[in-house]
Amino acid sequence: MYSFTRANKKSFFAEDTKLWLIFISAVSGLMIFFASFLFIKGLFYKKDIKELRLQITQNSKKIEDFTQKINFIKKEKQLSTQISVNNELLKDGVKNLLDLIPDPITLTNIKIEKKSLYIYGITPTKDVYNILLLPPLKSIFTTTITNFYQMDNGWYRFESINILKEEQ
Amino acid sequence: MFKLMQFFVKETLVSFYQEHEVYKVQKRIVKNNKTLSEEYFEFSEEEFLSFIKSCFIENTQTYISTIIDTFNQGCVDSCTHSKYKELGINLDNIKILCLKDYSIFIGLYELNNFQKKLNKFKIDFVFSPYLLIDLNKKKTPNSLYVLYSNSFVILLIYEDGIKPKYSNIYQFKLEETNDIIQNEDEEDIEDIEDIDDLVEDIEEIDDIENLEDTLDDSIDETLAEDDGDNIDLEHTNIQDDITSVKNEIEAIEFIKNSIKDYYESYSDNFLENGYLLYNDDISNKFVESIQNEILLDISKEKVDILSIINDLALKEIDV
Repeated sequence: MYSFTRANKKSFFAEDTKLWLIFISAVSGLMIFFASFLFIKGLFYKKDIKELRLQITQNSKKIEDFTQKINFIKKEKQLSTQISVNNELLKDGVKNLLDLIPDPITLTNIKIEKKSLYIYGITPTKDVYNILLLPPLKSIFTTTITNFYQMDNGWYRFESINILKEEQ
Repeated sequence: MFKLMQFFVKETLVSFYQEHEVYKVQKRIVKNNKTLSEEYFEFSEEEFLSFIKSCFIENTQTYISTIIDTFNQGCVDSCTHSKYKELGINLDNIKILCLKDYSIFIGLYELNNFQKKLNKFKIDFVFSPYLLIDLNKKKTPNSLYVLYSNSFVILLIYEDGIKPKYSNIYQFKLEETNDIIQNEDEEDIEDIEDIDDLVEDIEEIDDIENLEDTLDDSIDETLAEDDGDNIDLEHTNIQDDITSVKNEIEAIEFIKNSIKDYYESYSDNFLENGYLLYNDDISNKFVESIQNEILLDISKEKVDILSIINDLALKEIDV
């Protein structure tokens, strides 16, 4: 050391340059901060996208399940409607059938199947049955078979088997 | 980091010293310890201030260095405080720089005043003028070194050739010189003028064999002096000559008194070698006069004070 004094502090940059550097640094800092923010946000978005994709897959599966269920329910509904219609038809049929039954004849049992109708009852005479009940049955069913069993009081217990054959 | 940056950055070293109203300046541009350019200037104070400002605008790595040529400073051939106490120097009032073999001190009051005075120049390094000699020493024993400039004379005596045994400084007083110049009617000035003229005449007569030619030249000079355009120039030259002669006389007196003081108070060994280092041109007559006064052969050697200051600054930056 040769000097009685120490050197003043020297900056490598002039005052103007310092200002510019501060400005550029601040802007760069902000840009880096913003870029980092966007990057982090992007990472979050990527994570969200991944989760959403998973969710979409799960939802698609659920939709598929629901679609299947809907289809099933639709079918059930259709079936239900069909049954309801059938029941209505049956109800109408039974009503019509009961309307067909003349007063002198008393029914003891009716068995309705898909293509057949079994009627059991009591008639005062065979003629009453053959005149009042048989014709409408014959007009409805393709085959009608009737068996009579005479009772002690002279009335007849009858068994009518009516079959409906589909036309080919 | 700073050193690494220095490797790529240019440094501007500005050394200066004040010679009365003139600032003598060297600007050196250095990169990685290699000098790229060197320029010399002479400025007034205002010019120097604006020059420094321009240097800082040009390069922030600008170092301003100078020497302090005030009194109350010196060299001591040891760094120990006991040596200072032995010499009767109060340690509280001085600043000491311990160098390899010896130390340099300066009065704190003088240093502070100097810094205050030159505060506007943003000075980085203030060197002792003794270093200017110490860097040029020959390592010969019992040697006297005198550094002569137009504003000061510095004297160092080495007994062992390594450590300065005796130091002294003398500043030429500007005010007195001005007074002398302003008052040309005073007899003293006339005497000095006469002495100067006489010295010049004698030199001319010695150099020129033909006396008639000399007389003719003298007549021509007399005629030229009558020319109105040259009067101011001649007047200035005469004033410079007067100042120069006065300084030389004062310097010789200072050297004589210093040597006397050295022999009386510091050493019994006789001086064997004398070196006169000079920054501004000196006459042979001056050297002869010193030799005659101190009875010692003097070798003269030109030195560049400003360059040495910048060398010191460079060393200081590299520390």
